[in-house]
Amino acid sequence: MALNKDEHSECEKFIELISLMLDNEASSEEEEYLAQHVDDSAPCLEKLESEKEYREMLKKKIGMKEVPVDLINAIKTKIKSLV
Amino acid sequence: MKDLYWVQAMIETNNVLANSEESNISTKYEYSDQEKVRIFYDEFMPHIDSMYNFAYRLTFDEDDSKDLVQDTYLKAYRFVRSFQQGTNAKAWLYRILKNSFINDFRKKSKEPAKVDYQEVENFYNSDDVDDNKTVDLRTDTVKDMIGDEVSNALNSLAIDFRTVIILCDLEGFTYEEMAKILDIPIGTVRSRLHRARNLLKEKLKSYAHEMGFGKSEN
Repeated sequence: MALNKDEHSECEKFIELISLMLDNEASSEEEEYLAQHVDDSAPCLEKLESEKEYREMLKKKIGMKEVPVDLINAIKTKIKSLV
Repeated sequence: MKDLYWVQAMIETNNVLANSEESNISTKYEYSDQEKVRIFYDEFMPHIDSMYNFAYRLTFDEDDSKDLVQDTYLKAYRFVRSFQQGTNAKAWLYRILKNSFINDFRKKSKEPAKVDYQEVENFYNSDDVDDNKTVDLRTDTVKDMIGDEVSNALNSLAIDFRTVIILCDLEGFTYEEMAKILDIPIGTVRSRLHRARNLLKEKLKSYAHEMGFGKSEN
């Protein structure tokens, strides 16, 4: 969504706060402050949803490779030889 | 030959750790052999899945990942006295693996294509992003994207940017943990993460555009 100039400057300060909150780095006061703003700001709500989707998409789409069993065995064998 | 490699690896470990935080506390914790083994199996080994995946996302090669993870675990055992049991083993192991990759593994790499590619990416990634802006992804841009495309986009980022995305968005490390793993200030973690996410989103948008969905996005 394109923002007009006033909306943009008003919401700009919340963009970093959105990242902090989703990274679990915001204080409870900051989270409350953001929540109040998001209730009144469609662009910031949209930004919040977009950032949530980005994070969920990454975790969902990038799979984990299985650890080769021979690697685990090789490490255990090495450790046994050092004890 | 393997023994020679092992001796060499341990000498290099001493060099790597000599300049790091671990060296300052390397004799702080006294453990019996039994305790060392317990820490190794109970606190270090449970993280081998994410360690292997971290190594793979750094090297893009299964054999290289295995070497890097094995090297990391052997260093962890050797330097276990610098680890306080019950503390954040995962972050400690990540730090060792990252240092091994940067200080040791990449220097030994004889594959010119990887180095050239990385240099190109470093250059590309340095000049195409405005730090003050935030890139947004539309829902319909990403919903049809398949895992390979997302992985390719992530893998195409320069190592510093790729690493913060892996640590924060995939592994859920805190900014403070990332700062310790990467030896950079928290402010740098934040700015690098912001830039990395913008770069990744730009790449995802390019992929989406090439694939014909999310066309309405600018």
